[in-house]
Amino acid sequence: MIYLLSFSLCLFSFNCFALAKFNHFKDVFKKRPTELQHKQLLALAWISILLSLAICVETQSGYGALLFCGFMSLSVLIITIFYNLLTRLVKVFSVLNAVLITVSGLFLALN
Amino acid sequence: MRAASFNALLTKLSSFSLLNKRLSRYQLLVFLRFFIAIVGGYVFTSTLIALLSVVLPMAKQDAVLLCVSLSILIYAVVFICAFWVKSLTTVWISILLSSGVFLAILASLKDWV
Amino acid sequence: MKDSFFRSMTWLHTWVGLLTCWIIYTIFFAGTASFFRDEINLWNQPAIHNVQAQTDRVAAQRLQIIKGFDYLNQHAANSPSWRITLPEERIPYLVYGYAKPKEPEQRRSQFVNTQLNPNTMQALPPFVETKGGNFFYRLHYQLYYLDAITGRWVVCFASFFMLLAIISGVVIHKRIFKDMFSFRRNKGVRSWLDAHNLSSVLALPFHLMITYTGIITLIFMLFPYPALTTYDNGIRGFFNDVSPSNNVTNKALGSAAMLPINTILDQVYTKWPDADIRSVRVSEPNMAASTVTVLVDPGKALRDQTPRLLFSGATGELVAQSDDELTNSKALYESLNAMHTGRFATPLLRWLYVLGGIAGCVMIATGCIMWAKRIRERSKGKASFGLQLVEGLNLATIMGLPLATCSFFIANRLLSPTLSGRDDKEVTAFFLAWLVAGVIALIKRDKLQWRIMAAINALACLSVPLVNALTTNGNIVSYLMHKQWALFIFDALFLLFSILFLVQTEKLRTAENAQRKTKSKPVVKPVRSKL
Repeated sequence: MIYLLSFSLCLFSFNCFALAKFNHFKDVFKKRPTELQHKQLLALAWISILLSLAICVETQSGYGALLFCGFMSLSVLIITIFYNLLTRLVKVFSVLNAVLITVSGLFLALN
Repeated sequence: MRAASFNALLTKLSSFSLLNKRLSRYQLLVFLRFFIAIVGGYVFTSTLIALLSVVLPMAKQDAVLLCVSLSILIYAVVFICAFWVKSLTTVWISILLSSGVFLAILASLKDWV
Repeated sequence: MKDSFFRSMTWLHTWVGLLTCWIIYTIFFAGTASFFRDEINLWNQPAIHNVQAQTDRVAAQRLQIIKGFDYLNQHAANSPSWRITLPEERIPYLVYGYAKPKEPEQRRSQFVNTQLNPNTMQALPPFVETKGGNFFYRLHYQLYYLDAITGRWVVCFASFFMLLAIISGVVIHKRIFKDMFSFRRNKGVRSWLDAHNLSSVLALPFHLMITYTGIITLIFMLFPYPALTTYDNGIRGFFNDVSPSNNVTNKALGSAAMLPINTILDQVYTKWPDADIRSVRVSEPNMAASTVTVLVDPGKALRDQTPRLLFSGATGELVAQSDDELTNSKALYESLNAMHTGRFATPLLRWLYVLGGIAGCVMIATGCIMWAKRIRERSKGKASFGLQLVEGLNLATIMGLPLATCSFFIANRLLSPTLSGRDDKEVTAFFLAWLVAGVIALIKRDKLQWRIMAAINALACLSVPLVNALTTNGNIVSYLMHKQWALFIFDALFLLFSILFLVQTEKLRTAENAQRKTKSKPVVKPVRSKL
């Protein structure tokens, strides 16, 4: 469960990194991002990726670091597939991703 | 049919020998660059880590393990540098000289000479 | 070399890639398969297909060891060496083994192994001779038929060039962050470049790690010099220093009865209460100099040398042990080695490793194909020998290795279980199939040959679970129903590969038709005025 939280944070982070780019943002929202939106997305992306790394490494230092790198690879793959082949589904996917984070986070907090 | 393919082979060989004069210097430089990067890099790395493992102020096993763990990093850096530095002469001289110095220090430390 | 560092790195990237890409592809292919070495060993050995996972594997170990000692005392009291190998998560059976006295010409003594079902403690049906996953492992670090030293040197240098290719690749990929998620489809060489960049970047930490650590696993062959200069008796001296060994009682003479193994196990569990014992080895059992070594699973710790405790068999005292706390240098070396083999990886991390391995194969394959296409574009119709060689090796390696793998597994099922030397024959099947792919590539290298190979591969991949169903008691459906996950995923993967190869056949067909249409269109040359 903790790995699910870490992975969904990593996925969310790369989603934000992708949206922070003008071309990908335009593909999804049909307009260019403002400077503020761009900065906010980048900040959100960095926070979630560092959080994901922290959670992985906290549970088991060396092993966790390797797992985190694996999560990054899988996230980049999934994000690339969505942004190039399934652009219409990006919004739905992002919402699901956020839901996953909240659910796994709550589950951990309550146990 | 056979005559045609034989002719083609001859033409190929002769064109190569024509280009040969133009390309040979370039090819020699390429070869020398690769040679110093591969062989010279190996020699540099070997002498450096052999010296370091004797000189480092830690237990013998630790020194050996640390040196071998870093060996590939050193080799890769030397290799890249061999392609970064523009002058081939500089590369050759610096690698040979430094390897020689490491070997000399090592020899004096181990009383080989 | 060239004008700037950037151009020289581009040049270097192409050259080191050129020299080694097919060897590196084989190494990556075999390496990715090796992450499933235990599962391949399982699939290749029908005798252990129905061994159920133990409900409490660790708790059962003490009794299994005690019974093992009883068994070995009964059957091999005077053997020079005993080995009890306990079941693991991915290796479901128990082995009691003893060594036969060494013949004069042998390097290592031959072991007589009895394999048991740990649930019933009954002997399993006889095993068939097969290399299983160990074939891919040996192919990976030694290129199989080459002798040990040559093979490993080739792998070493190819891997070093791979590392340089990755480093130079990162340097020349200026738009690495801008283009991280881009993939432009159906744009010819651009799409191949995007695929190459994507597969490289998405698993970049993995590629760097696996290549660097891969060379580290062979580092004492490559650079024996630190050990040679620091130790008087060179490498042997160094290895004696780093491995715990019995220097206390190993010189004792004469025979002596061994203490019950329980006393030794008590000491093990006192020191490590949750010990998951991997194996127990006894050298010179029933002698005064006997040594009992207990090897314990390190779990998720990044350890390369299995933690162990050495006891005197006769007196039961602890004579040596592996370090509890590793020094920084030891920890560095061990973790580098551990990261490469990934023995600690649980299913989640293991699949992520495999994802990285597949990304690596895609990276190399797209690099090779893109390069061949670039040369072809520049050659403008005339195919030089170099281009033919590149295209031929591309076809033979990229499409030949899957075919060879399928042949290996089909041979495992079709060869008679009692045939002598069948393990070597399975390997021969692998290389013969690869040779067939080579011959096809020798004839011609057009899209048609790629389509033929894709179709053959689709058929071959489909045959693997099919032949399995026809020659063993299980099949993919029964594996699912009985929750035999390793076997189920193995068969399912081959079905998936079959579908992917079918998709490739289709794509090549449409590409071939498109090519034929453009070739048949009459080219209208613009009339140039001579004014």
